[in-house]
Amino acid sequence: MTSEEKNIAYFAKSFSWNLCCKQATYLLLKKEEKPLSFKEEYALKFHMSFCKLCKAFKKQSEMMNEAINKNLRQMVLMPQSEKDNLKALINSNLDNN
Amino acid sequence: MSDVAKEISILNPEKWIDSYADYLYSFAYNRVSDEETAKDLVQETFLSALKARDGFKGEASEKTWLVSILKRKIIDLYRKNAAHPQQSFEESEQYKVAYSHYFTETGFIKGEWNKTTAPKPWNVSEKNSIEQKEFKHILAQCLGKLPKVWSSVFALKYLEEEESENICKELDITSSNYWVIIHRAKLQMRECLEKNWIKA
Repeated sequence: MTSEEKNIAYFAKSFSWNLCCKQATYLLLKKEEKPLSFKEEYALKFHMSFCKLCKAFKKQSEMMNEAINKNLRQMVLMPQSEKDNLKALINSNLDNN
Repeated sequence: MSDVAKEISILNPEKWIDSYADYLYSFAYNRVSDEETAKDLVQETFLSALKARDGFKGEASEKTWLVSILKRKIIDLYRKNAAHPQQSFEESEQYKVAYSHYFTETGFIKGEWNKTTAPKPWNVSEKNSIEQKEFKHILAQCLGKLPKVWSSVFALKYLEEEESENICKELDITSSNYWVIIHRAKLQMRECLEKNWIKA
């Protein structure tokens, strides 16, 4: 088994009520996208009730999401020389037709 | 009169560059974090659009139509990266930070945060707020340090908030593989940001 496969196997096995931080952070990210199973949900809730580090991770993960989403909307100007090249390219394609 | 003229968009290829080049370039650049690649994507988009313009029905706006072509090209690129990473296997492995860097693998309690790489509080002040230009630069750099396949998964996740099932289908990966990639990529991004931005 490659290390990648081992890791997948590690998470695929059913979660116990007593999560470690590796499992808790995995579930936190999964929860950002889809609902967890009943057991996962409560195991995570229990872990988060006392784990300061995972609480910090959760907050930072949310900040990263916000930042990345904002970043996707920023405006970047295309260099003028590139625009000129593209214009010439489009015009030559239009002339051919 | 029942036959009210519906607004039908028409294409004006002569004006595409002036009207949309910056928008499409930004859209691409923000998702591939590379100027050359973004430029190529925009060029391919315009060329494909020219070829396909007879099929344009005018139901969507010109801009929406062009963006949909570009989006398709970006997803194709991600898929290509996932199937045939430009980075060699060895290179890609180098970029991967092992789980054991973040979580203990031996000892009485396994899977606890390692002391040195555990999250530290982020005191986000005015100086290093996420609105700052500096932050955007570091964010792009950190994304660039991920293995190519991971950054493709990561980017697709944030591209129009694609559902995880669709991403797995697009990139041909299993769903458990997807969650492990998201987990590891996020751990790596978090550490990279903390090292380079919070302390800057």
